[in-house]
Amino acid sequence: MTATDEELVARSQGGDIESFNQLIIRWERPIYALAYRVIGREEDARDVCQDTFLRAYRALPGFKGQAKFSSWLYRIALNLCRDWIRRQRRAPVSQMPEDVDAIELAADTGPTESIEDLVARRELSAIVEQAMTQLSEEQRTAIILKEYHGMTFQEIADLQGCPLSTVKTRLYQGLAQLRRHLEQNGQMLPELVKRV
Amino acid sequence: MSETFQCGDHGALITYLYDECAPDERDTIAMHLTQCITCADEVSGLTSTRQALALWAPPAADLGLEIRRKVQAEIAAPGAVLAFTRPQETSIDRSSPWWKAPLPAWAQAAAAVAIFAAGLSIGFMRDGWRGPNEPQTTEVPATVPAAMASKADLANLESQLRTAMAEIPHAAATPVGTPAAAHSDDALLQRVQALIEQSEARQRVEFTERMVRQQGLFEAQRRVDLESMGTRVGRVGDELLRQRQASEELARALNQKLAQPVSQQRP
Repeated sequence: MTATDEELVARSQGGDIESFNQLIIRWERPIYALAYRVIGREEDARDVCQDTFLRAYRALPGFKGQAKFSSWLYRIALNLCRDWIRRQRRAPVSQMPEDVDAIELAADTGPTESIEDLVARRELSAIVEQAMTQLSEEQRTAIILKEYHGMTFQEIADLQGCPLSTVKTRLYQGLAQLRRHLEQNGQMLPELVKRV
Repeated sequence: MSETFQCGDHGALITYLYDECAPDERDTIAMHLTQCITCADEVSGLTSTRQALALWAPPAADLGLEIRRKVQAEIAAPGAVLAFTRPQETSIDRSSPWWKAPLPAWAQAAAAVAIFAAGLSIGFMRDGWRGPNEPQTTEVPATVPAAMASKADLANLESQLRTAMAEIPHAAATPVGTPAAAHSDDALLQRVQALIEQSEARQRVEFTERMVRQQGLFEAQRRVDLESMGTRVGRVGDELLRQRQASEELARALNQKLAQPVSQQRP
């Protein structure tokens, strides 16, 4: 039977390293994905992910379980992302590949996906990533937490430290801006989505 | 919860879009969307945007090993481990007097060194300096390992101390060797011996604990390595399969293109 986060946290607090290792295995990918989407740089996202777990480990004796472990971890990661953005003092820049490697593309195709479809998917992903960089940090974070981490409005409000209504506004304005950006750049979004 | 929906209520549209509204509110908005083209277009556009967002995936990264290694290195650092164990270790029973509390390791070591120095001084006072070729009073085998040599040294020290303490009254020619003073010295020696034994026992326990901890770390690392290897092997297999499928597809497309002109040339 798989241990819950709370059980693993309790064991980790008792000095069981293997339990903390299990928590890392469980949460490293979501945390990395969050960091990458927020700051847009692969290497820095790795660093943020690593720092998140190091900070979590150091602070673990003080974690009393008032919030879910995952929420606590997300909060640490978001704070680190925020620090990173402040340090950079510029909008995040995504590392997009300039050229497309056919072999790499072929390796990325799904069982029923043609190369054409894959190219379209890659293009759309790049367009979306680029569009996301146009949003404010708060809008982008709200959308990321909602779309990719399935959080409720209330959880996002807790993490961002703002009222529920603000979260909804950020989500609406962010999505509307994304839509405009995609359409203004001549992308036939519905057709692309339908095709992919 | 609203009975009616007003155009421009973006908050309500967002809750509808993410299906976080109450059922009756959802019905109200759904009803409105059937009648209002503007709002329906808005929801449709936002839905398409969400579908596009779903295609944005971060690049694959082989994180686990790197992160777990660094975190485990942090965990393995003595300070980090102490962060968890310190509260239990430093809890002192204030009900007992301080002189009854066990001495810390550094104090025991300092006491041992001080007693050793005192023993040497007393030895010099009694016998004077002996040259390196002169026989020693107690022989320690030269081939014993370091840990055993340390223990032998302590035993030697103890015997030297006992001898020296017993001879002090005669050497100094002072009538202080009363039974009470001798009893006090014996008690002191017993205390020192007990301290040394405690220190040894504690060191043995700490060594064993350290070994167990290292073994645990090694085992955890081994598991991580095995898991990573399994993941990589699986990924390579998947990649080979995909490449094969892609090649087959390209070959099919090529065959179709090659076959097309031939069929057109036929009458």
